Amino acid sequence: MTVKKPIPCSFFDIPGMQQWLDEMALQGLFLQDFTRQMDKAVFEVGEPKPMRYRLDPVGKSKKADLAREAPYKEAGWVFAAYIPGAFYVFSCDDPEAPELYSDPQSLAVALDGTIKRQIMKQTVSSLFPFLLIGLFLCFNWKSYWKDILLWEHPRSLFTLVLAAVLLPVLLLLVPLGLHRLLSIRRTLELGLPLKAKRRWNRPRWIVLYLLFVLPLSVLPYLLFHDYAPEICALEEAELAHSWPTAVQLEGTGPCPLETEPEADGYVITNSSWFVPVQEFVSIDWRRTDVPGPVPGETISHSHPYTLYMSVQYDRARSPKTAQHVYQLRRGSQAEYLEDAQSYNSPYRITDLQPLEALDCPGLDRLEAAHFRRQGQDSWAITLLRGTEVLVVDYTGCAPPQSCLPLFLEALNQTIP
Amino acid sequence: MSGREKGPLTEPMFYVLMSFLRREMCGTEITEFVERKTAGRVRLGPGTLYTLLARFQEEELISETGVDGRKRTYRLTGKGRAVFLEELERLRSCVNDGEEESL
Repeated sequence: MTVKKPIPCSFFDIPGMQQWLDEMALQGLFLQDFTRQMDKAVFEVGEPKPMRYRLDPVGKSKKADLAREAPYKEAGWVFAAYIPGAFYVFSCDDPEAPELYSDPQSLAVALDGTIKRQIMKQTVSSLFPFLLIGLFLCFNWKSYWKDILLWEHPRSLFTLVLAAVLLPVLLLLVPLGLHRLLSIRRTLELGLPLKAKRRWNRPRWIVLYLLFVLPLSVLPYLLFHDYAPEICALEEAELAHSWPTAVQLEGTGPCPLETEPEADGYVITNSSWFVPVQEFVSIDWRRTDVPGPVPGETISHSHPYTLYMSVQYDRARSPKTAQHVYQLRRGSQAEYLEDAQSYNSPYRITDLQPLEALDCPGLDRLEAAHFRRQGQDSWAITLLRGTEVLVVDYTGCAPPQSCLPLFLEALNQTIP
Repeated sequence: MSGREKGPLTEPMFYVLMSFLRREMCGTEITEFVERKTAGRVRLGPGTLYTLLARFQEEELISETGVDGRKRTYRLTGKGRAVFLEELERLRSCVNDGEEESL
């Protein structure tokens, strides 16, 4: 029969571990192994008897360590368990047998192997998460930069910050563990006896879990939204600007509309410290008529098609921030245009002429792209003016040169 | 100079090196030699013995001469002998100094 008991001290507390295992033997519990998580010791139940358990530091090679097992056995010391990368545990029930390490200085020499292994193990295990986070940031820096500026996914940002704060704390634990080993070696080199540290006498992992891991896992869910922006219907939205209508837009092109078609759309709003105003407006104007070549005339069309416009408007706190926001928005739009060419849906775009810079007095940046979507001419316009960024995606007959003044006019007029 | 840069030898180190002065030895023989020589005052634990043997091999104070199953035999090298004699001289000086003062 076996029983499991939580280990009440650090593995590096050599006398503490040894004393505890000796005491367990006096209670009839004989060490058999450690659990995979290394938080509990597995004991075989038997008749209580005095036993000596001693920790033997790992050597430079496993082969050399294994070669020791036989002479140890001849001297009365039997292998009991292994603490990976640190110690072998040997037991002895012969009170006449000499101590495993008869002088402390030789134990200090033997500890070199454990110290080297631990330095290697701790360095690798601490560098690995840094490497992972580094790689993760390399691939996702744009998304985190976007979240910092626009506060779209605060929870993921908080998790990243938490990891950035906790990792150095974890790294501090590495030198602390090594410092403990080095101090043990110094004590042994001086020939002084080691003293057992205070026992924890409680299942430490559960305590650690309850105190740190659980609150840290739950906190982000309580404090932050996964997705901060709010979505509402077009009619309910309170927008910063009144964007051009279909009649106004098409009125600038070759096929003006007589009546304002029914609009269907939604608005996404968000706010961040860097960019207090963020609005995305998506409008579909559904029509069953196609404008004819003569102004005012319409031709019935058997297949209804859609005039479409989306406007992403951002007002940043400073022109410098607006430049960064412009880069992000422009990048997203260019990426969308590129990807949409391979869509297997009616929204697939064709004949793409990528974003190209245009001259426009009074604007810091202006770029436009032309493409076809659902068989119609479409345009994307990205512009930067001071602290304002505007990205328009428009499907209709009016070209950007004609539409642009309408958008600029809308920008100049703020809704009270 | 012996070339050992790790300070004076400890008592078990001194006796382990001493055990090789007359002939090659294996682990069990070294333990018996030391116990006999010191009349049981110094008892080498197996951990101590094999750690010292490994360290001495690393420092080229001893070299392995043969392996017969589990039995490994070692002999003292020139460097090992020099280290032992140096330590002996140091201990002799210590004893002389102590005797001079205590007279």
